[in-house]
Amino acid sequence: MSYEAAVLSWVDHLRSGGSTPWADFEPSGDHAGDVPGAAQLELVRLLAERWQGPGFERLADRVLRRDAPGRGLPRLHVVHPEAPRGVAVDPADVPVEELLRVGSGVLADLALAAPAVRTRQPRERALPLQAPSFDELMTRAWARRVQLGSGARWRTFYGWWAGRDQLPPSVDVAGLAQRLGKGRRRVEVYVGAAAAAEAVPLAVESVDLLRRVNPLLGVHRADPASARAGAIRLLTGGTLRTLPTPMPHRPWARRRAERLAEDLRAGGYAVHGDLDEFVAGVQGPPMYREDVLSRLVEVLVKESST
Amino acid sequence: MKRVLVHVGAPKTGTTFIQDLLFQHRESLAEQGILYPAHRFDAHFLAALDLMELPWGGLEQQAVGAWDDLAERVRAFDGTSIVSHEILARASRDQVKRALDSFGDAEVHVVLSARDLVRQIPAEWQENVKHRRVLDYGAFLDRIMNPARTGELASWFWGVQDVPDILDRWGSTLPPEHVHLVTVPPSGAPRGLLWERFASVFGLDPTAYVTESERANPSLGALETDYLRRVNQRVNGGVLANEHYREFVRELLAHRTLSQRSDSPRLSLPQRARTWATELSQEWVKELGDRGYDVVGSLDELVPQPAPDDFVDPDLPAHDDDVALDATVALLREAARLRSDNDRLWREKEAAVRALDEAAGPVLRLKRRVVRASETRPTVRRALGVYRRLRGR
Repeated sequence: MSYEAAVLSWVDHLRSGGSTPWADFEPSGDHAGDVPGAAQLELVRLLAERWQGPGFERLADRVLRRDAPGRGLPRLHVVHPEAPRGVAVDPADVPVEELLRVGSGVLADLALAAPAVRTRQPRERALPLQAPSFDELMTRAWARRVQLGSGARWRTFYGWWAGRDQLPPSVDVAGLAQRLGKGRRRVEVYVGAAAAAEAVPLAVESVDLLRRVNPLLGVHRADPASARAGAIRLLTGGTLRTLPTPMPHRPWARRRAERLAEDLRAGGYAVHGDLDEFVAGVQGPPMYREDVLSRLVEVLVKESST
Repeated sequence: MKRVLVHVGAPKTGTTFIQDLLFQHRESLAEQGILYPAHRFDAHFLAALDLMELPWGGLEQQAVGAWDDLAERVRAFDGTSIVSHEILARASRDQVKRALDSFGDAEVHVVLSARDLVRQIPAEWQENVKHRRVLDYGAFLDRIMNPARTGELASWFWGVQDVPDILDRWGSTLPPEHVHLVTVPPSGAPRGLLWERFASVFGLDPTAYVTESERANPSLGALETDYLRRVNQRVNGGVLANEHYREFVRELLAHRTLSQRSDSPRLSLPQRARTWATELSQEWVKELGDRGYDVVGSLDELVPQPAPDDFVDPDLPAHDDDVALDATVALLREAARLRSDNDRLWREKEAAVRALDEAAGPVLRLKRRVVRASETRPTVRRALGVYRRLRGR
């Protein structure tokens, strides 16, 4: 059977909601038309695994017709004796990053197609000063920047500040306390376990998806704020957990956290809680690409089911 | 007749020179019935970003709708249009289809200029280094030579340098005679030969244009490139912002200082890579020869020429003190120039303030003095704050 007929037979199977991997699939019938790439096909298969009920074709077609945006591998073919010139792989072996690239394009399309929503930018917290840990503040600062349109990876964001030996304004608790202290007699700072939990309604995997989508929105809209608000709406759910500090920046993070703690002690503020907890923090598990992909599949299925 | 020539690359094959020439002469070209539809030098780069959905450090926001605008101008022009940008080489089949469809009923020709891999690979490492990368030459070659071609670096390189693949993506739906492969002459060929080849494809008289371009992308020697790579290691990670890197490292150090050191050893390929590149090129030449394209030049020019083993390894610690000294002197001269500019601007500002004071009445003079005093004296600052609150400012 020709490459085109075999792969399009699998396309039919996937569009109808089937999720048999390529390696186990027995192609049949006569088919002709445009053949999607291996990344598009594998992403559709993963979506089919999660999909329940009829009506999957619309989402499947959206993905199958979506070229992978931005930088990455050229279109991968499906491994087959008659595969065309280029790189051919078993779709199960397509790098996760390529699946995320295609999926981010689909997510951007959904955000761009959604009706304009009123944009609300996240605001810096002023009072009271809640600083559970240095790491948590850094994670929140990254999430905030991404919600404002940044496309920076967590590691890049961290490196940017560490390289300049500066703190994001929302992380510089001593600086905030000093500014709040002007004209006031007492500044209350809550650190470690004494700090109130701030539930940011975006999982870190969603923040990572958003930073992938942000540059794509900028490609299509000169003013992408409204589309970005649409993307945030699609991704809302879960809560932000604290990410571990990237390994090369751990000495810097420790030094700056200790200096902040010293400044808070020296500033004469009313500090509630243990500043050592602020410095040490409790780091959550790292963010894996596979979890970001899983979140992407969840969001696309949910959005297309409604 | 409507006709469009789409020059899709490859990088480092004289593309900047061609684009500069077409842009500078776009009015006289229009008089000859040739449209180069660009309102700014990088108009086709922006159109390519738009077509290919490529974020580019924020520049993409200036590119929204740029491809459709370009295509509309091509469709509306009754004559030959030329579109040229080297990143188009990377376009996927879907993007190529969108591009070709967007030209309507114009007869489409695709042009690719290509140079042998022994010159292209070192040039690519140099470009990488000039864009803040820190990978040493050996590691770079390992990535390029890995047959899997995975990873951002290898995938980008082969996306814009794999000649048969690029022409397959761009040319598979066109008659082969509408696909033009311009080969870059070997080193030592007569100056102007490459331009003559381009001119013949574009239908231009090669003698009618001044071919001294102001825009150039000068090359660096092996040691100079490694010096920049080590600079990158120290200024990346937030130490030097992109705009400062562009001004001081890429422009001042690389282009204006280190590229002037033309006597230093040039970057080439070690023997293992040269052998591999020669074999790969021979496969390409065979494949391309079977396709019946219009070759301007010779396919043999894509096969690396035998050369003496003069490879200087930039990864070995044979650093040349003169490179660092030249760079230091260039930076000192620039620092001195900026300091002089700064001093002059400061003096001009002070003179302007004095002139304003003299022109103002006594009340305004008093107010200015209070504001200036508040910058250094806390008591005055507090008093001024109270005054402004009372005035509701």
